[in-house]
Amino acid sequence: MARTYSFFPGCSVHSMVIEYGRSGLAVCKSLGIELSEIPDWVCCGATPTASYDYDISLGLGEKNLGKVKAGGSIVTPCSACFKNLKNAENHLKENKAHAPRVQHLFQMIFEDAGLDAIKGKVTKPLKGLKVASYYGCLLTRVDPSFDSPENPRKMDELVTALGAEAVPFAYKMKCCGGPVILSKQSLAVSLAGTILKAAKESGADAVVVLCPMCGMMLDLYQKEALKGVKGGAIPVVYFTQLMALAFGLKDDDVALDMNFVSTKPVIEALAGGGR
Amino acid sequence: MAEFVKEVNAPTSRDSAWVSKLLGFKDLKLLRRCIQCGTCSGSCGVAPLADYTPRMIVNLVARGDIRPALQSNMIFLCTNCLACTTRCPRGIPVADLMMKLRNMSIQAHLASAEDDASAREFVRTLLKRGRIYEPELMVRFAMRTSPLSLLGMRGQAISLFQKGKIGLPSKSGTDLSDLKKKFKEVG
Repeated sequence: MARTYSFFPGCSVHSMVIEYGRSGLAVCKSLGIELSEIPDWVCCGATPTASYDYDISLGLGEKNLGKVKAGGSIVTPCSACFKNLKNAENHLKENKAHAPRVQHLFQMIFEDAGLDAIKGKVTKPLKGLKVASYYGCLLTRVDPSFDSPENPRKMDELVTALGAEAVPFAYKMKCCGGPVILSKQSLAVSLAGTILKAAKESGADAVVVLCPMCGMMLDLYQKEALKGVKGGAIPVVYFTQLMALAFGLKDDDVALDMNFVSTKPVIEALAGGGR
Repeated sequence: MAEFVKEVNAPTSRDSAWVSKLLGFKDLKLLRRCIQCGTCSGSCGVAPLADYTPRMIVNLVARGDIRPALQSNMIFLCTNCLACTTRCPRGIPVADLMMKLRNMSIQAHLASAEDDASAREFVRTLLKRGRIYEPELMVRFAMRTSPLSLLGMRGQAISLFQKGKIGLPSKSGTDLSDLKKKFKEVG
């Protein structure tokens, strides 16, 4: 009995972050959840549209929500899309209009599938892997009812359920710089660098992310962000990739070859598990 | 929109009537609850680079001094991470205020070329197909600012190409004529 959700992919999971989209769909499928892409969805507007004119940003969100029946749920893997869709949901509800419930993919998997179901699917526990859970700035600030907006724990709980170890990570909610990458590239890259340096110092083998913007900043821009910093690179993987890995799904669904920074250290940490 | 542009460009006015009209009366009333504790500035990842910190921006707008707020680099440094809004003990939506000021700054043509182009060209690209096509956005932005900046993006472009992550643009069939009209009106 598969539960079906309306899926809002956003502009990047079919291109820039194929690995997130592929692993996300596969993981949901094995949890008995079907993601059905909303036909003719429009871009959420990201941050630049709200910078230009907030009403246009809201208009885009409402067009997307209008494609889903009231009482339904709409799921997005991106925290920026999540924020814009949630703004539209809140705006509609304030005006006593019907609106579907907006959920982040991580939130939906955590709340609706649940940790027990996830544990039940783990066939290859991620023993030996140490990760820094990076929540990004928006997820719990947009919806503080889901997890603490100051010290969220649910991502740590998820990776622990997969058999990995979550290291203490003070920079888990610092902004990655993604929203200003176009207008202020050097600022954005330096914000990403601060997070990556802290992740390296934490002793983690990899950073786990749940947003394509964060992924882009920490992975695609890592070379620039860590310029002049001692030591090697640190892999950046999506939480769905770790889930797919622990569920024993096929390599194509885990898609660890699609991340920009080599993800070999993730596999190596597993091989040397129990050190 | 033109009416506020004239007012913004008038000599500094402490008369907050038009400010409250622009921001909405409820918003201005909210801003006046500020106790200037500075939690917003202390939580902000970019405030150290700003001429006016978030706390000062709130103060300026609350007392009707909107022009220096509109010309401040703070409103465009903001990444809208919501740390300020989340932590404000008085419930002031500081991050939303930054966005409102950005809207006004762009529409009054006070924003820098980069700040203006990054927002305007994004919306233009979006409204064309209903979805963002990054290569097109990058080129449009570079043409409006510095075409040489495309060279600075070549590393990322090569990485994306090597991974097969640059595809063809996709299109949404949704009717966007109302938003296109709005885009024209905003100017």
